[in-house]
Amino acid sequence: MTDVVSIFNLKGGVGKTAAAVNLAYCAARSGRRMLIWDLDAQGAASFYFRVKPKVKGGGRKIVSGRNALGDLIKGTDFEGLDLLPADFSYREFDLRFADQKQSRLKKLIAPLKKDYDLILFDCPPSMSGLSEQIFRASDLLLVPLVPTTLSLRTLDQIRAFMADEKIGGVRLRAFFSMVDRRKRLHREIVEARGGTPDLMLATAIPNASAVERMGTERRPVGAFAPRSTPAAAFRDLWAEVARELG
Amino acid sequence: MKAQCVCFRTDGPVADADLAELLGPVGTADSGQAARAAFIYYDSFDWRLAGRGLALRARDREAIELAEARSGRIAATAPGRVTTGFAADLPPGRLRRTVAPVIEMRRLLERLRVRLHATATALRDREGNTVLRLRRERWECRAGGGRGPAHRLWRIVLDPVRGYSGAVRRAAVALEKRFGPGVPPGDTLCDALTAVGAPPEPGAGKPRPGLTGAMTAGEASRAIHLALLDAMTRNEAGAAADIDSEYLHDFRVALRRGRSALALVDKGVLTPETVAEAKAAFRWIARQTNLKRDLDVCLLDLPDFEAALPAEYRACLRPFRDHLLLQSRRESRRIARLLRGQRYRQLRDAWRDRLGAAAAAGPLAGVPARDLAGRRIRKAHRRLLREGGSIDADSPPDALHALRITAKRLRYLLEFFGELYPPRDIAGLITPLKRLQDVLGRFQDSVVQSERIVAFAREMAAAGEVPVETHMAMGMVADSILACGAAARRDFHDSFRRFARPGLRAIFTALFGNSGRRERAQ
Repeated sequence: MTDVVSIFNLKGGVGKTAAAVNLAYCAARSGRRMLIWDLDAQGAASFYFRVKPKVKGGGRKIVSGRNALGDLIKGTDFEGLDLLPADFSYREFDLRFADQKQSRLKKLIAPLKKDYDLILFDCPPSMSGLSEQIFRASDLLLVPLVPTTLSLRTLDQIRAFMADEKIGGVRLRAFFSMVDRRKRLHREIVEARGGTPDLMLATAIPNASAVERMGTERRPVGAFAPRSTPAAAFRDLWAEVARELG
Repeated sequence: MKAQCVCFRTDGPVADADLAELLGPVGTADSGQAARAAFIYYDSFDWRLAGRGLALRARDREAIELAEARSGRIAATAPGRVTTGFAADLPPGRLRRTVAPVIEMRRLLERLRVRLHATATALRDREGNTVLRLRRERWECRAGGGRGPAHRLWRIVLDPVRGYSGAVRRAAVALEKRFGPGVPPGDTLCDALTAVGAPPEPGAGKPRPGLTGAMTAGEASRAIHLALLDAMTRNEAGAAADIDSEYLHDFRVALRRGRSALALVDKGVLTPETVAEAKAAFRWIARQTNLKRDLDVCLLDLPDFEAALPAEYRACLRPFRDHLLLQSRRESRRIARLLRGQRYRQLRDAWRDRLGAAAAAGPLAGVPARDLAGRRIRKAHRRLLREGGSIDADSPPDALHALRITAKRLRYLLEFFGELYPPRDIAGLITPLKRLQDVLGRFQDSVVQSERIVAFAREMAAAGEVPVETHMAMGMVADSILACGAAARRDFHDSFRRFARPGLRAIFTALFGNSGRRERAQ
């Protein structure tokens, strides 16, 4: 059975793509057949995996079904890890999905499930029609949160959105990202688990230069700095996610 | 569409320089990463996993992997080792859930040991993207248990990278020119098993006499008995070692079929003295093995017995289980002495020598096999219809037991002589007959099983103190078994009606009647 996990936050710059790329890497290393779909028109995940952020026919032909997703997938440098690249036309996904059924995205990825054990969405920072499609296609929604007051509000906003749109069938979990232990506020919020201990995973991803080096290395942290603290943190995070998935 | 892995067998190792030359037009090879692993491949005695296109292996004694045999794709993994070889002892999870219904009560045996030396290489395009992965592998293979000499196999495995199907195609063309056609990864496993003398033969357990339309009844009888003797012989070592319960079961099935053949096929085909001697020998062998089989069946059914009880009584069956295990171990030693003993071997070998001897031939030996088959099957079919048609709701249990024997005779005749007729026609008759036999079997087994449990309870009481709760629990088990039997009794009439329907009778007449017989294409 294939699991679908989305890394989502309506706030940008919270470490979504770093988490998506490194979790995908850890999952592939653990033996799962992995597909990561870079849904963000910025194409950061595609950049990290050294894949051109371009798909034939763009987002329009994907949503209409004229181009099968399977034909657009590219392998990466890592065995067992494939990527559906970003495309700049994805910025129009809200428009494209607007007149589609709520389960359109779920239907589009269905044929891929026979080839993969885990599909991971690296999601753009917005709350929109595309977000709803993503939520309905996912088994697990992972929300990276920087341990600040403003960032914690986004978790409430996501929960409210899911309640309003009556989106069930997807588990919501969050984890702390870009944690700077030198900051008292970060320490206090992490220790209090953001006030929502039932939703928070135990692993916190540190704010570390190794993660920033992904931009120059163009590889997951585990590939170029396997012994670093963030690489170990991502491995722990993957272990927690794998337990959540069962 | 996702491209598939493909392999190329080579006669020896392929050097880096050769590989670079062959695949240079496809991409630049990075320096390979060497890896080693040790695998033990497992399957049941009758290759049940291979028959389902699966391959199970233990990797480095740390993990167990279940793969699709043909593609090599890993379908499930579990941490741990293969311990006893029984499905219940595999680590819980998807792997066990997939394997258990395939092997059932059979034990997994070591079939092959492989020391794998692999060098993994990535081919990159001008932009540095990985366009193809390949592995050069050396397999050092030994038979299960690490016995015998080592055999070496070499291969190159092309592992396509999604989105770069052109690369794998070009690489395959280049390798095919040098090494011959590519094959699916599963072929290497078959080659390795063959090299160590253990080629997979799913379904090889079923005796196939090899009857032809040109045979006489005497030739057919010999072929049938030899096939059954081979089946017995094949299962001797496993039954003597009590590897799993199916060896003795298959041994007894072949023995039982042999006894049935003497009654159903050989009247007039062999001399009465030959038949009588063989019957006495088979009867003696069967009697020596009856108790062990009863014990095996009870032990196999024990989980169901426990499940049928209220939770607070399940532990009370433990003394019963211990008693069964103790008796089973004792009987197992006796069976080993029997099968390794002189008397059994002499009887077996004498029977093999007697078959085909002119002195053993009866007056019907020269009759065409098809004529004899038609007559015997017609008669058995008529008897089954007559006996079954006379059973009603008031008929005693013995009537259904007798009908079960009659049904078994017809089934054996269809199976003995099935090769003389079109396979689909025979299958079309055996399927409804099997359903009828299942219902009759459930009924009779319920009576026999409940009586067995009562007999064991008496034995246990005579041997010493047994808690009252254990006797109560065993009584409850016997009751639940009888309830199943009652349900089978209710199902019988419907099942017999379906077997006796005119359409099926017409097929019997067409195949085995006096005229208009359908022949198997030769």
